[in-house]
Amino acid sequence: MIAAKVARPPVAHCMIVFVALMLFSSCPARSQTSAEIQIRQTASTSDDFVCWTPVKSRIRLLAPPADAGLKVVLRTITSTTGSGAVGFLPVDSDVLTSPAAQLQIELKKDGRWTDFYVAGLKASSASKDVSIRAELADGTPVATNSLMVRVRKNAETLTLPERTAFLRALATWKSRPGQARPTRFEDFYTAHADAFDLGIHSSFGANVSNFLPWHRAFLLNFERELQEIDPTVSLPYWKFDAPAPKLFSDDFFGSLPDGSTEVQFGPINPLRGWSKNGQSLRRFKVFPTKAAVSSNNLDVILCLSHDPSCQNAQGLYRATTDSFELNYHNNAHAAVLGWLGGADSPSDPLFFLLHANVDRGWAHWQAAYNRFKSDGIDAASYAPVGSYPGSAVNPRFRKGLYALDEMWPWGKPAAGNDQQAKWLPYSFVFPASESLPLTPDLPPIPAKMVDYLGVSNLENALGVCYDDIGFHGEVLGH
Amino acid sequence: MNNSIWTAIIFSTATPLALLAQPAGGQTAIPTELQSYYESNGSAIKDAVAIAEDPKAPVDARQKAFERLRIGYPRAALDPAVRLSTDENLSLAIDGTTFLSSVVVMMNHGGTLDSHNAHSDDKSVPEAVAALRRSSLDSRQEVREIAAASLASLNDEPTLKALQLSFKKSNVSDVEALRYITLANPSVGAEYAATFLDDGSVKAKSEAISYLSSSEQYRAKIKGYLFNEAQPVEIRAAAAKGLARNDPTFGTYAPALVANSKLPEPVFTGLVSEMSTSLSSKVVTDVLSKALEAPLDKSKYDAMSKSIIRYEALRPEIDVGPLQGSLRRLNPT
Repeated sequence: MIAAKVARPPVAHCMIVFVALMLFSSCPARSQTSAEIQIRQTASTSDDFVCWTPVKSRIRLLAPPADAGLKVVLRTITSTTGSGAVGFLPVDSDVLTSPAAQLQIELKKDGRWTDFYVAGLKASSASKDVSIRAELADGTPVATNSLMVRVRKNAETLTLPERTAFLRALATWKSRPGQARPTRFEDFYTAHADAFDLGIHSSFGANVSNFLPWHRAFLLNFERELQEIDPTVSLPYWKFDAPAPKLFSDDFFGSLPDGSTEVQFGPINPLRGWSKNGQSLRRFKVFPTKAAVSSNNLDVILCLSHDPSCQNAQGLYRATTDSFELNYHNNAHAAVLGWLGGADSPSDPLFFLLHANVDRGWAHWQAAYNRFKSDGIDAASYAPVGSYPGSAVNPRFRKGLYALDEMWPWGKPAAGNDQQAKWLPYSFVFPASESLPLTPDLPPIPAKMVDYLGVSNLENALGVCYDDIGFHGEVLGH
Repeated sequence: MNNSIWTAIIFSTATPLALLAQPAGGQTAIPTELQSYYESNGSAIKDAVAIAEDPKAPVDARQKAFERLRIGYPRAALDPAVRLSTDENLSLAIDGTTFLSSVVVMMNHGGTLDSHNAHSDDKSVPEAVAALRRSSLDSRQEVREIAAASLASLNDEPTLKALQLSFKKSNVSDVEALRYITLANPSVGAEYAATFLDDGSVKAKSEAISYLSSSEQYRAKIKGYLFNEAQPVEIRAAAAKGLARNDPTFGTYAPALVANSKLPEPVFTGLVSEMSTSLSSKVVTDVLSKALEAPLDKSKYDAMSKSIIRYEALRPEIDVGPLQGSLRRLNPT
């Protein structure tokens, strides 16, 4: 929160009011007005990150005039070093309407808060590169606050500073102390392998799985840990149905020398030396010049024509998760192979970018068929519905798979001596992110992962958005 | 409807082809909660299977039919994929083999077929593995590499053995065989890769050295390559890199080596630029300091410059100031 004090009415010679504003100083004034803006309705600035979801925020007069309220206009100012922009909605509006570039709002004369929504319109490219400014009718600012529109982007589109920040955070994360193993790196790849027995993959057996929500939670856990290292970082995705020349370069996620399977990194790439048990990272193929997975796969899975003759046109979760897992996802793993080809595939950091793209695909499907119900009883949004053990104990339906179950490795094991659950004896602490759902005490359940954008309830929003799909399901320009 | 009935429906009515009357050894598993979905699309599935497997149909129609199957009804695509993987048409064989690869990549429990079978009675993965093992010996490299790389990544020992044998019979080159073998965990693949330390071309030997340097049992041999001036530079450079990354005794011999002005540049670069983060700051500093004592040609000078920048970024505890100062005072010869 930054409060600004300015002259009211403005003094003519105060032409550099914005500079003064940023320096927390006031212009010479006979009487002064200042206001305070709080993103997410908290005084903390460490939660001043938004994406496309409207976020309830508030503004109030700090030195309220005695006699009347004060009309101000909220608008955004993008810094010269970034690209972000936000819009506004009045608090009594339907949040499904599009945010406006500015909003007129009346500040209460007694200094009580006035609420409004703020939502990202354009993704940021630098830390806190958007300023919200409240200004009087004549343009005089009375308050400002900086924030970041933090979204997951196509790795190919990252700017060099964004890429560098991500790689540094990733390299730092790799050696962080683990919760079950010596490092978080080892924690993640062993947990993924261990979780196979709990149903995180359906594979080609007759298993039911929590494939999509479990991996959404796994990625979010990972991303929040990166953000503890650098809060400006978000997880990019590898759009594997298109060529990725920047991603598969020495300066990013590595190239493959001709005839070799050992991934090559540039001399100052923080990922250089990425290893597991002394072994350097191995891949069979990378895809700088062609797509790893057929470019029409996602369209076919989504059946956007809603033509009944199209597979998955019914928009039912169970069949669609099969298509995502067994095709879109498995094909990407199978295209790269090496470390990415097996159960401990998170040992290749490309895993996280691959799964971010699978998750993005799920997000597109959810938007196309409005599958955001998080009540745990809508089988079209997620199945199996309800809680373990359901209507009858079925060995294929373990605890953690039902919509309302906590999932291993974050949740609590099944009560008593329940052999069906088969949970493993170690766990992860799910990292909290200020003002957002999911904490160590309220860990992920499949139903909570469904409404990641807060479409059915803004309180559900996980603080995650993709650069190519908006809050209203609109396809954005990437 | 149970799985076997469902499978019977697909295969009894799909096509007049003799192949379809002989379903593969496995059985496609349809989870109970998906059976209504598959049943309601039964005719579409049957049509797609029939077209995909019809050798008289145009190839693009067969490919599109198989795509409809694998994306919309993946659990009905396994047996057609097994048959397509041996199709005479290369594109269809690739499509079939690629699908089989996607079946096995996420197979259960540490990845090997044995561990999968120990935890699952699912028959689709064993069926896919069997077909891929066969395809890993296909005469067409485009097919062979999908199968061999998939199974090698999953530490499938029968495939590694077959690749070694295939190399000995001259069916695949050493470089190609190693491209697959080096995808396996060294605890499984090392003994197969080690063959090429003695028996391979320069390129293959270099790859084998790089792969095996993380295994202690091969380190003495690899060190022998580094010190043997009669060995090709590529092999010595691979040994230098591998030992810099993995040998905890690196600090006992590397400083003297890099101080030798006659050391070939690729070997020098391997030694100075690849030192592991597990090596102490002192070892890294000693090696770099000694390297600056000998005359540096332009390429060695560049290697030193990049290495110092690298360690400055990755090892902030190392004081690179004196090294940078020494480097600036040098004029590359």
